[in-house]
Amino acid sequence: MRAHIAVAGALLLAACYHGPSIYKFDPVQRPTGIDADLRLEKTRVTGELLEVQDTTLILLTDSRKVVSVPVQGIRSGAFDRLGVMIGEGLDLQPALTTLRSFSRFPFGLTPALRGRLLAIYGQTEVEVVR
Amino acid sequence: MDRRVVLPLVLLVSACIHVYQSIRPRPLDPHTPVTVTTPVKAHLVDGSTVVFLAGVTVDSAQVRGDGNRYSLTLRDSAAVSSIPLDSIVGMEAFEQSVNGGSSFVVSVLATSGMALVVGALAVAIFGSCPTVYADSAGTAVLQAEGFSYSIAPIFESRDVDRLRIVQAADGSVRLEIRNEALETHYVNHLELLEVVHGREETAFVDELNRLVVVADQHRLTQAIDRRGHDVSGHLGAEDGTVYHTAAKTMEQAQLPDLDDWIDLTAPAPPGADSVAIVLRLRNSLLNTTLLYDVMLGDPGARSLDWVGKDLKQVGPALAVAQWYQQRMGMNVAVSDGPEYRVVAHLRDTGPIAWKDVAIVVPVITPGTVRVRLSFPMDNWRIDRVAVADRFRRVSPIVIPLAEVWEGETLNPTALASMHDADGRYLQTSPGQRFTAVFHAPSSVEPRTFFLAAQGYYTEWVRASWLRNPRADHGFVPSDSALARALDRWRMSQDSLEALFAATRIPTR
Repeated sequence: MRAHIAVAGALLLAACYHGPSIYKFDPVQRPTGIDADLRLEKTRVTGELLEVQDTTLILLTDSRKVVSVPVQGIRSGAFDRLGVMIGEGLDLQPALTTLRSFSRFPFGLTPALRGRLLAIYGQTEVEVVR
Repeated sequence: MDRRVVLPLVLLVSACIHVYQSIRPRPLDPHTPVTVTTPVKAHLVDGSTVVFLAGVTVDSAQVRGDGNRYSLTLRDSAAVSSIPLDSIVGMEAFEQSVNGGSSFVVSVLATSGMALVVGALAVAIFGSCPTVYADSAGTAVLQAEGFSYSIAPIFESRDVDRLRIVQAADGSVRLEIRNEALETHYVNHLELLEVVHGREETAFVDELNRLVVVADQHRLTQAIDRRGHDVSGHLGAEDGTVYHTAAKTMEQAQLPDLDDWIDLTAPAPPGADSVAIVLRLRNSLLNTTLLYDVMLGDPGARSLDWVGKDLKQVGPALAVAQWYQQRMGMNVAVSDGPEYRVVAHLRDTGPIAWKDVAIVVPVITPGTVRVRLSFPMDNWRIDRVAVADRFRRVSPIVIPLAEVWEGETLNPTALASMHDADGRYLQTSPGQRFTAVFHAPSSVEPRTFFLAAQGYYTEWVRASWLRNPRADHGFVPSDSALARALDRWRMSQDSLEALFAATRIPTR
């Protein structure tokens, strides 16, 4: 009987808490957005996902710069604990919907807030990375 | 099955269900706050973020919990125990998915903070579906509204709407689809339907989204409302002079007597066994009052759970859907001696765009057609009713979605999302719009286009709804709820119509 309970418990844990746990997942536990690793044709951008717009991702790069990355130019987009969500053969729209929820500003940035954020990092406008 | 297998499976299933249900709030009295026990993030107007790892309690004015408030830069943080609702742009509650997938997010609240983007959002009531526009000499002209009142995934539906457009010079049909409401729209499928017909014929959609071509339309002999007044003058032409339930009838509304009706009489051609009733109509804002004020507003913060969770479950959703289907809309009945027999039911079509429909009814008494249109009091604005002596059902030419444009940019992903009725959706937020392009073959014969749109939407819960809860439970579908909506609609009709028009969210 104990063995059965152990098996049940193991199955329970495996089935119900497979994938990132909300109790360990940074975008849930912390104010930050999810960590992104974007591979473009000629460059690579890594950093925190700030905002998901209709056709672009806004990131705070590891070098503390606010950049905009057009989604069309991303060859492969991997995200902490979620894996590769943008890339060939992957449906973009549901990915963007999920990522928006795990960005730092899922409800978007107003122009005023964007301006303040840029000022903090010594920028006047968002740098576009292609 | 071997018990060694059964036991783990039973435990597994029950445990998973328990995970899902464990944060459902207990029944509470009207002013008792609602509790969320999983992590919650609140995004504030000033750009700061508050993380409540152990969840929150939401009441009509505050969000309470043990949280940490982080500044815009995340460099500074401070412990907080409460934040006013007015300071919040939106909140997210995180739950663990039960199906073994990654955790998912429920956006639970949009408050007046969004007014930074568009004024007066906290009281915005415009809505109930995507709106469809076509260009006419440089002006966007409203054509239709899609999948009205499909307020949860389980209510996803397909709407077919007649368009009053012609093809562009390049052979394309271009439609602008807007999200002008505080809603998230999930568009699954768009396609154009084309019906070729004779010059003396007109094509319509019927109550089941089938297409029908009619001819020999003529006016009614008589149209008598519930009070016995002849209202045929309101229904004779497409002129904006509409039928609505008389104020005196509305004043007498009381349970269980909440319906209005119009008895129509018209001649039928000799030997005809059926004719088509042609209607041009749209909903009043009674429906909006029912949805916003009674369904979502009265329960206050419980609406967060109702929208975010209950309506995603088959049982509660089905209860609402069945009640709504039976109670709202319009019944079309034919006189069968002393009784009226219901032969068709027209679903609510939405309060924004006029809808043209033709409903085929049997001729019971040779030479005369007698039809009763019955509906909840003041649920409809009816501009025109006619009888068509001839009709034929037709199969349309299906024209698939060819292009989707966001401004000047072609969006192949959006196209793929809406090309087929499958598991892919285009999600739009308030203020977004896109242009759907269809390539229709040219034709010298008269033809009519219809837009078939499939999808659903979710309503953003307004802070104003949270502040003044009036019910001690979530929405319960019943005639009492309809009676409350009728009473409030009767008292606030003029102001509500003005507010509705004024709170349409501009698209970008």
